[in-house]
Amino acid sequence: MPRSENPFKAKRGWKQLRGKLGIGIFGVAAYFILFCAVLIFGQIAYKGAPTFVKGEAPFINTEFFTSNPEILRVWHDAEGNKFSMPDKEFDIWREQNPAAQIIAPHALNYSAGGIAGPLVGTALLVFFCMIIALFIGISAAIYLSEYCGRGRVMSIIRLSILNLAGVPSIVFALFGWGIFCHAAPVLVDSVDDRSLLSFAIGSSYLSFQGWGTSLIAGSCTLAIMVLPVIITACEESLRAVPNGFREASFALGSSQWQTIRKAVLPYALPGILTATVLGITRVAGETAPIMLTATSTDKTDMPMQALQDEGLWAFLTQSVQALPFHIYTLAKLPDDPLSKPMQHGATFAFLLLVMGFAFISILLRNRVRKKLKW
Amino acid sequence: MQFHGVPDADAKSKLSPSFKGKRGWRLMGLNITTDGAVKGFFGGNAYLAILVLLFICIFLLRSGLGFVPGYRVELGEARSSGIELTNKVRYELTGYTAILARANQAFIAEKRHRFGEQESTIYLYEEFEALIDDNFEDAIEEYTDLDEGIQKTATGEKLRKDIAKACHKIPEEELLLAISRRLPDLTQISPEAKQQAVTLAQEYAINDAETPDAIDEVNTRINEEMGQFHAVIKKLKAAGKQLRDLEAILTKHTGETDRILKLNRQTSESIYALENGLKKANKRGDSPDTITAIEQRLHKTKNSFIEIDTEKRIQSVYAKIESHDAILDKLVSESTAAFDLLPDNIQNEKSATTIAQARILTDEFKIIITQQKQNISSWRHDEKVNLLSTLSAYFFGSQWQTGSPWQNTYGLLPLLTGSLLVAGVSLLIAVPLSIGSAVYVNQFAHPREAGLIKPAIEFIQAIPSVVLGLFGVLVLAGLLKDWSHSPLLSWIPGFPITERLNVLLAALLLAFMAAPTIFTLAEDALNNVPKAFTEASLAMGATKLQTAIKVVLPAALSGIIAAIMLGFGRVVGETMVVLMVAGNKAEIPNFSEGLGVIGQPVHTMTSIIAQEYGEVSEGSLHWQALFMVGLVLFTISLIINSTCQRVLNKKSK
Amino acid sequence: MKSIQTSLAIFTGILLSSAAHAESKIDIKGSDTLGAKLVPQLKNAYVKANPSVKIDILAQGSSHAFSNLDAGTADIGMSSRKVKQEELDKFEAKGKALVEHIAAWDMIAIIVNDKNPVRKLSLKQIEGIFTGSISNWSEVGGPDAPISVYTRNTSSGTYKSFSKLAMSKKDYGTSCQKLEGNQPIVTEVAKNVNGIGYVGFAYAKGENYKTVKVEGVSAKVSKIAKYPLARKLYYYTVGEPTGAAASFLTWATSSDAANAIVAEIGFIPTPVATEAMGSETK
Repeated sequence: MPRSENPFKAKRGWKQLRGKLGIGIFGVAAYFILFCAVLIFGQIAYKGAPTFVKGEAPFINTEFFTSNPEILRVWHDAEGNKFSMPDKEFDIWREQNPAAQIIAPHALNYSAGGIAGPLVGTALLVFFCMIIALFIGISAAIYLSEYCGRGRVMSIIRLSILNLAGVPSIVFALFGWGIFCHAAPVLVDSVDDRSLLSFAIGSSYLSFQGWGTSLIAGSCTLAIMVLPVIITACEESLRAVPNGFREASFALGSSQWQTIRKAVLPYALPGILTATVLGITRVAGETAPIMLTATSTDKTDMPMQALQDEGLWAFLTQSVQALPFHIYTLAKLPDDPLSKPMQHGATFAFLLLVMGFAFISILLRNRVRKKLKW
Repeated sequence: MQFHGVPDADAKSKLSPSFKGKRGWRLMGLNITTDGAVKGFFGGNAYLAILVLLFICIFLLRSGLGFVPGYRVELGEARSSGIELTNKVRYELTGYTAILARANQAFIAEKRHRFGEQESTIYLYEEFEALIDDNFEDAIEEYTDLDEGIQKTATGEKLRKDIAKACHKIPEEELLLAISRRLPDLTQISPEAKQQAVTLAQEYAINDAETPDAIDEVNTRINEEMGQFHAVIKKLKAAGKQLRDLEAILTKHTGETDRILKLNRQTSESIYALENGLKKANKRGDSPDTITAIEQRLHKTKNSFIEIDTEKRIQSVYAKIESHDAILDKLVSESTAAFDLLPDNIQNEKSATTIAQARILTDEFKIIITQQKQNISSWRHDEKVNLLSTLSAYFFGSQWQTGSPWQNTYGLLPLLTGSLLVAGVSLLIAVPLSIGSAVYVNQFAHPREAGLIKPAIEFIQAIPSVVLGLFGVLVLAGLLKDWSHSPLLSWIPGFPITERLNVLLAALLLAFMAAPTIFTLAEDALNNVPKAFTEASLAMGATKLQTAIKVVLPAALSGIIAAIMLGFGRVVGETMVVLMVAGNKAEIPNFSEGLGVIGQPVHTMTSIIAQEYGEVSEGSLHWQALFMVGLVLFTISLIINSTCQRVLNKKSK
Repeated sequence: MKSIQTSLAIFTGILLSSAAHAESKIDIKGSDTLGAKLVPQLKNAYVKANPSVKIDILAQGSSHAFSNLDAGTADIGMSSRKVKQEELDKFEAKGKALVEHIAAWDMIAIIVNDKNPVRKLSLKQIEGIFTGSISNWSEVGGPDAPISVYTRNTSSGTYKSFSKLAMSKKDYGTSCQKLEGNQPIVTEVAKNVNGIGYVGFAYAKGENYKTVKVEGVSAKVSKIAKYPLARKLYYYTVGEPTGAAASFLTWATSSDAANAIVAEIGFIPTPVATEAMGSETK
């Protein structure tokens, strides 16, 4: 038997083929998921990209990002030539061509202009949400990891926080809607009838009548939703800092706060940053909570206008447009080819935005994992 | 430990004792205040976070559980007013209507089969008639817009001619297209029939929209030939009349009682609110005008109470229901007799099967009504609605009917089954794919390949659900429906699907969302299997595949199950996708279709909240019902999460 | 504790800076029938003429109008149905008056797929279909196929008006699919040969679906007096409107420019409707 002299030589046979086939099946599963992802992403990109990507420099149609959603006017003339233009342009055009014949005019809502309002709204929601969530979340994480031990009570608390991270967003939405929109305290001149409770403070009242559909209610709801995630992730990254760092710092005579500030936080910072970006990814993509608590379908002004005109509180209690909810509105637009560019464009822009954050968070995490090994 | 500057610094800390001691030592003296403040700050925030999260639970519980007594009161009202009884009678009527509908369908199928040609003449004719009528309408509109005069007469004349002309010119193909769905086999229709219809229609147009006698003749002839069958249908309809009448009377009577009861409850609520307001106003020392205004309103509200003698009203309900058993018996005997009269020579296969179904339904109906008779005779209006039956009405109620002019019912079952069905199907799709890819990445893939696949799959997790929902509505829904009609895929249960929005569509999208979650966690679980297991297995001569399937997978099983459960949790809680693509049909899916159930639309717990939050007013029963749904979702996710935590913790120890 | 004090201080600071609700801002909430197409375009035209006015719109169903008016989170409520007695009671119990303004007239059109041979339905048949007692097209003269019923969701005013106008206030059958908005209904009916649904008049014309005659009357402006499913659309305010809301409402309900927009979108402006009603009664 000259052929069997090397027992480690790869054999070719049914058994081996079967092995390869088995592995192949597992591989197919992995690549199938990726294939679907590419297909969906590709479909959205293919349809959405032409809306705001141009062939020439600067390659991006900035107008799409700087103008508000507008009405698209559609009509045709006597010869059957079809026209469509955004509402504002239409007015100018009409003045210039008073003699032009307009037959069968109709208007498509939100099918022209851009997504500036929703974009800014989402940015504001995410910004305020992250401020609240990070402020509370990081402090809570520091307390849990640096000041508390791993006692029974603490571990129960930790476990509950972890459990809350998996609660569906609609439940948080319901809660935020019930509390912030309907029962949060507000300082008013006269108490509304539906106020749950009110105290007189000087000439005005502190009344628990809610903030209504508002930016602040939405941000708080999102913050509470993301809080468990932030606390858990931050605590984890704080715990990942080796105890030796702390011990060394204490040995040099620093106080606990000095230790945390100089010897723990700097090393946990990348991890905290990752958690932040992860939180942003999660918050920016949510629709249900803001649908219940913060959004309006249509809005005249950019949200910033209220800040200039009426002050901070009016700014915070105004309803805002938000990109995910705007997409939900766009999904219900008439099945008209002229509405499609906006539908797909807004979706693609939103997808890019969220995926961008997701990408950053994955990059950051990988860097943290590679760099920080003690 | 006793040196500790801050008393509540945790004594159970696992930090090394020497380190702790040092810290305590150092803290003696000046640093206490700053550090104390800092600690207070952090601790305050931590407890704030915990309090907020605790508050969520309490708030949900409070708002949700408030529902139970409220619903109990409503159910109690439904009982004492007799609405409950009416519902029972309605239930019987629904059953009978179903039998009748079947019989009717059978009749129509048979009629179409036998008299397809005459029917098609009539049908074609009716199509013509409709077209002509439309033309007339337009013409008349134009005509009436004109002022009296020569022009008007002329236009009228011209239009009339146009119409007459138009009906000669109606393209035959257009009509044939319209009819092709009703009579799939168009070739069976003789050209004569078509011709006849055209002629009749023209006659109709010319004779100032008068139906030609020929049509009536054909109708009479069909009815004569189908006489026996037709008589059966008529008899069946007549047999149900008494029950219908009973239901109508009961509906009117009990509905009125219920309405008054509800109004009175509202009145007493507003009296309570007004009295409170009055007290507050008095306390605040509001102007006498305001107080008088409130007092007046209070007085007015108090007067708006409607005197109602429920006892007397319910007695008349009892009187009415006495005839119930007799009516049912009569109905059963009459309908059985009617079915016996059915002609044996049913030619159409579909008609025969439908009749058979109707017969089966009738038998079932007979069984149901014996129970119903007992139910109704033992029904008492003054029996208390207890907590248990309230809860079971909520958790096992088969109807979620809100904004109803009759009775709002909050039955979770359709929503719960919808949620579970969608989640279950999506897991069926997601689990093999995600576990498969986890095994591949962890066991077989080249490290560099794994380094690419892993983040890529995790990346999918970030796709926002509303984007997937939009993709589903705009793209996948249409594709799926088209695919389902292809003969290649007809082996899939439920195919071809008729509804664009259905369980399968939602499940596909949700599977795509759940896959990354399951993948990541399962991969972690596989990673946690000690390397020694793999090495030992390989050393024994097992192949890589054998090692992966027989050694690594079983070792990681508990972790993988936890991963699947967490994936399930994610899917059950998803809102936007199901709201947009699941079809929102609040009915318990029809499981009698077997796996074909995936082609049906369903409603889910998450989407009912998103769909109905807007119409509820604060604190109302409907509001509480939605919070109760939220509470159920909350509980489900907590159970899943805590179980998984336990499993995963055990693993890591 | 310091932190809590500081945050409380900041919080009260924010609260104290609260300004009165600006006069020139109008929050409009409620019906999707009005708010999806008509009101955004009215708003657009109005804001062009009065740039100082700001209008926010949220359209998710008529019930939103009343819950938000009650909560003080809307200045104008849009509703495609009349206010219900129990809603009115709620306002009255608080001593508020709800004022009604007719926005336009509408006809609820019953739509079926283009390929469906059914052209007319009686109210009785419609009731049967939507309550679920008729479940096969053959029972109303169509092909032998199950009926897929699409309705609006429960917070919609159309949902309730329809139940009142066409279903003698009976409950919808459980087999209805409840969709959010008129457009999703149109989309589903256009793509499902067995579908039936109802939409506002503005959505009555489109590709791949058609309206059916109800009791022999087709949904046309001139037939508004005879059409059984005609209804009014409303704006509601708490008390007589004041300031910006008042001038917007006056403009939206009576000016020619607004009426032109109403007609272009496919509703029936009030003057046209009253004229049609008048000519019918003559």
